[in-house]
Amino acid sequence: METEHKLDAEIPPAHTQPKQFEARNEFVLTHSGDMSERIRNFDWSHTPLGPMETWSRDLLARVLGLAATGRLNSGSEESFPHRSGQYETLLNKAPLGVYLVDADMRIRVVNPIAKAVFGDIPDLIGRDFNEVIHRLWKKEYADEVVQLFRHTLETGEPVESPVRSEYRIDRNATEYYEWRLERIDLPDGQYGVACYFRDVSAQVQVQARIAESEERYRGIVNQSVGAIVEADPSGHFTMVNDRFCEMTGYSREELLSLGMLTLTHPEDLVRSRKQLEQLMAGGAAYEIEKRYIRRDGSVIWVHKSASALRGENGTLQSLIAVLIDITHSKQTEAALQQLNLHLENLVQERTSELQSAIQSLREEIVGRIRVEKELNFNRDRLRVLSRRLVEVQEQERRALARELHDRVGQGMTAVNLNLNILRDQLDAETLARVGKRLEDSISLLEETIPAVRNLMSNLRPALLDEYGLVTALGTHLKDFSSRYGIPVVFESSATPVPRLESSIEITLLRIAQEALFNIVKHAQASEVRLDLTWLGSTVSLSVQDNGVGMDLTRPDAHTGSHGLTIMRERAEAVGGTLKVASEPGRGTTIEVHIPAPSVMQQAAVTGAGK
Amino acid sequence: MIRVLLVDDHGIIRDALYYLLSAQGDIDIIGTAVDGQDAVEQVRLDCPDVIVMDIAMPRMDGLQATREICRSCPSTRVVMLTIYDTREHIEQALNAGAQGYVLKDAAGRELVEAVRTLHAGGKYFSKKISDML
Repeated sequence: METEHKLDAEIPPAHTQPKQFEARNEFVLTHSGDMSERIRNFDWSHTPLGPMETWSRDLLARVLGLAATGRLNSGSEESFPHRSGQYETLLNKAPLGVYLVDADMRIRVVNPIAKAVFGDIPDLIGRDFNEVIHRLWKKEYADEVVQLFRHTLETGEPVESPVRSEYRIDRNATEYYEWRLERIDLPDGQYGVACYFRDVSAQVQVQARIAESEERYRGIVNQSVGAIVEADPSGHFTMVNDRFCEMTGYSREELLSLGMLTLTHPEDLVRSRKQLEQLMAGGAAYEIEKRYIRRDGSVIWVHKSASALRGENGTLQSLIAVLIDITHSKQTEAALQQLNLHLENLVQERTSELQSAIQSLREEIVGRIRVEKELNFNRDRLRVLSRRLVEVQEQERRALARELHDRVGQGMTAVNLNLNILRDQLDAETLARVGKRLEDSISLLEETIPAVRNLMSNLRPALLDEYGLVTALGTHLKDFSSRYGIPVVFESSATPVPRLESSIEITLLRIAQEALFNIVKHAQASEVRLDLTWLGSTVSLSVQDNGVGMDLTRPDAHTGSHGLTIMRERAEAVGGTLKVASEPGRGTTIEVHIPAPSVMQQAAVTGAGK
Repeated sequence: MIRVLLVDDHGIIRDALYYLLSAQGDIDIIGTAVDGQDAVEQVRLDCPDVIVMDIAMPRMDGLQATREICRSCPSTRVVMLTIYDTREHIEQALNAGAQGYVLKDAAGRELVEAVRTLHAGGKYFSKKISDML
């Protein structure tokens, strides 16, 4: 622009460092002259004060000189009178504290910022700098400052002070300043010391807070249970916390030279990379469970939450990930799965064991049922056979009895009759000769026929068929009593026992006969009692003696007695039961119960059936 | 003459009885029957004085026949000639109307006397039976 001209060119350097001055010529004033605006726009806050801008100091030094000698607004500055107002503006609006101390160490110029720093001290201009400074600072610091001013004044060496904190005794507060002292030539030919300073308390405090905050952040990050990492947009670690180092076994330095996916287990690499690339390409934050290979080669499981930090325009600034070691929970999970599997196996084993147990039980039951059926079948068959046997036996006996009656008995009777006839027809001489023998023969027959009759009766009591059980029993008992001399009491139930099925009648009679026979053989009884009862559909017989009895607990008590076995078999053959009760010395009782409808009842049933 | 009917299902007994009784001068065998039924039918034509009656016979036994004959021919007297010696048989026989009871084992010695006793209006039991009664 044509209207521009270098300020530097117009204002001759008042300083001894023209080189520096020339090197920094960015400061440009326009003709329209809004210099203060430009100064304000210049970003001081980002520029360390150390190499404080030469241009501004130089310019300010000249302005300070003018101000110190009272020529700033007097219009007496010939070289650029039209700009004197602007110089004042420059001084007053400079973002620096600026003041000037003259060779007599009196304050000559103070710009508004500096004035504010000097605080409540009135009438600063012309005051003794030493006195003023000692009102602000503690003596040690104030002395040091004054000494530095004197040094610069005497030697012309500038002094740069780094930021330092000092305690303001007047304000009872710590303030932070950075400042620079320079000797300048005043228009009146004297030296002065210009102090440019900046109150950086706010900055320092902010920095302190930032530092503190960063420290806290670092603390949080490092103490975090989770590992926290940050990576640049290319995926290289830029920050890893302690936990991540512990987790991976690598040092921070090693990690910072690695890429995010370097540690990922090969098997998890493909999906990890896919996720990361999606995130980099603008995708949403994601979570992933994957494995890392640690420095020592061991494998860990991590849960990783990754997200991206993006600038305002959406450009990727960094990648941040938080990782939690889930190896233990994975192991636990695996252990649980293992345990589950084990349990399932156990359950399955147990189930199949149970099933096979149930199966074998079932088979056993089936087997038992079959055996039981067979047993029942055999028992039934046995009963049928026994019954049949009894029947056959009875038939045989009946047939035998009939033979005895019809042939032997009748034949002997006929012979007996014939011998009698012969005897009657013999003459006296013949009778004398053979009469004795004939008589003996007749007598023999007369003895033999009753024997045959008894045999016949035992084989098949004619009474039983003709008169029924009660009659047959009664006759037998009388015979028994008279034969063996044992009295028998016979009682039949109040309800007359009807005619029963022939096989049942003969069974009961046979059992009674057998029981009585046993009594004679073993019991040594003095009395026998026999009861026959019929209760509608069951006939019961009991034979009781007062003999020596027997010990039924002896294993051979039942089987040992052939008689008992025969009686029981007979009872069971007709569907009945037989019980024996006995004790040594207390006699024996035999009880038989047989289901026995009367013949009449049977006929009725049969008739109704037709 | 005592007119006698013999009732027995056994031929050898009938023959023996026939010879035994007919050998006696005072007994006339007017007939023989093979069982109770036969006897009842013969008695319908001609009432004998005495019937010698077996008990165990087919078709109709001696007891039943005795009952019927005692009804149809009250004058006829029946002596049972049997192998059975039980009280029941004897009682049954007496109840049926028999006046005598002779066991077959003693028939040779006792029957003739029994026939004669009955014909004379008395009763006759074998010695064994008398002992029992």
